[in-house]
Amino acid sequence: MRSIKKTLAATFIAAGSLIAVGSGTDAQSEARIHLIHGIPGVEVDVAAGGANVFEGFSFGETQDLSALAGETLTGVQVKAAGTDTVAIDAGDVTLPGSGNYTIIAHVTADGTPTLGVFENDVSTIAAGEGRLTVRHTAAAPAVDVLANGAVAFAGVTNPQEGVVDLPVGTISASVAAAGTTDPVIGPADLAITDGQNLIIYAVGALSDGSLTVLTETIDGLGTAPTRVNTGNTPIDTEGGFPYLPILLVGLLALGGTGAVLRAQRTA
Amino acid sequence: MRCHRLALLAIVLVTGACATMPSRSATDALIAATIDSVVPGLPAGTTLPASDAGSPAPQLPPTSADPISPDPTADRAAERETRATEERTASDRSGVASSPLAELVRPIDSALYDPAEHIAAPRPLTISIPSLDVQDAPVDPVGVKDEGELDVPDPRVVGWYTGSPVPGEGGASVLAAHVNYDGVPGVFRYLRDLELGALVEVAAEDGTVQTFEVTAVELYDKDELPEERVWAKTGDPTLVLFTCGGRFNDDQRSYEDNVVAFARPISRP
Repeated sequence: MRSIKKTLAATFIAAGSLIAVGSGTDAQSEARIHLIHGIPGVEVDVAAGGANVFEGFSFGETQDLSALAGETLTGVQVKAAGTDTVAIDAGDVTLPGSGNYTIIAHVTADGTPTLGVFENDVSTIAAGEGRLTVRHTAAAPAVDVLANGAVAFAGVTNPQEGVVDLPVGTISASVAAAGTTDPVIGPADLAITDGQNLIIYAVGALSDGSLTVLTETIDGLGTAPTRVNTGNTPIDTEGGFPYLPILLVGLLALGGTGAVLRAQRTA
Repeated sequence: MRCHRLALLAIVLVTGACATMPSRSATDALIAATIDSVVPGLPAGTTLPASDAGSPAPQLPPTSADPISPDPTADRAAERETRATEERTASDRSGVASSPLAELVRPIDSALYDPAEHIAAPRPLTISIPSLDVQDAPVDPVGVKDEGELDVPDPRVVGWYTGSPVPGEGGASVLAAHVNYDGVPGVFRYLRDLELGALVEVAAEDGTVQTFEVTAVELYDKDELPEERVWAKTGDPTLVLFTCGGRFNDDQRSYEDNVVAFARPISRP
């Protein structure tokens, strides 16, 4: 509800050279924009304005685009590495000027390469909890996400996501076709860490067995305990309830009974 | 395992201790309880806030050469190796990327799933402070209560705050115990008397024992804790031992200060 999968929109303004890049505005320092390569087995170059921005970008790699926050990139293309073969033609792309986003190159449910944009939930997490975000970015039908064997998110379809805050610890997570429990991904252990949003991307394709997960973490969302109360009695009144004397009296009584019994037996 | 161990103590302690341990079933229940609110029908095709909302979505034609078809034989290790190679070659050809944008983007951590990052570190099991005659006092994992207060266990038990690192990991590992409760002296009854250099031993569930030495014992107003120090998530591994002290507030049945001892590791397991 609070997190919505967004499809990167193209603005299709007149093609032209890039404008006002790298001017170091305030907005840039507030934004956090990461780009993840989420299509297994393919290496790409990413171009804007007819020139490569980075090259040899391969599965699982991440680029920090935060410095480009608020910029409009013209003619964004994702090409097979070292070629002019365009895999994703995103047109003109305006990056958010602020906020926390992840752009992931992934495939749609039917296997078509695309760029997905997710806004990350960076709201404050309660002390002692961590956040788990699960995103369906794979060529696969609806899935259930299971945590410790129980369904955590049901009927998630590409490109939906689910978000939940959990107590810190380790959970065993797996992904199964909706309504089933046979894992198509996992099970894999996931560490739920205090104050951290752990984001899991299901990527690849069910049809060729390339389904797997990518992970991303955002730290520093936590809160500390408000107070440590470690005592409700003044030290000088300690022993207000005489546990030890009662125990000793009890033991003596038992011992006395035993002695009496023995005495009776021997009598 | 913990319960079995604690069975050596009085029954009442066992009951209290086990009740404070987060159970897997409790986690499951929490997850299950949130399902309905977490996966609504999410609209696809929403545009970026900064984009022209009226513009069409980009056309994404399948490529003729199909360079995107995933390689089913590529396992994770191979991906990793490829990535390492890429990183080496990326610098070799850094001059090739011709866009002025190239200087503004930078590669960061890999998103590949690394199981090693998800292995739970061995939890603390017992604590000993020889100079205070604390010997193998049980340590239980604790969280916070609804109002945010640390859930300090039974006075005979030390609570390890699960939101803090395990002892020996980077950051402040928080262990808290009562100075007393309902007249019963707590494990950290004499924490304020700890001397600098005193030893603190923490045994973990994997059988390892780490030794720490006390570097400071402070008295803080509970409203003025040095938060960046006692709740640090990163930095030098530090054991932070909490109890109460200072003036006792009769109205609130609570102490106004915390006695906090800091210790640094002098041995690794």
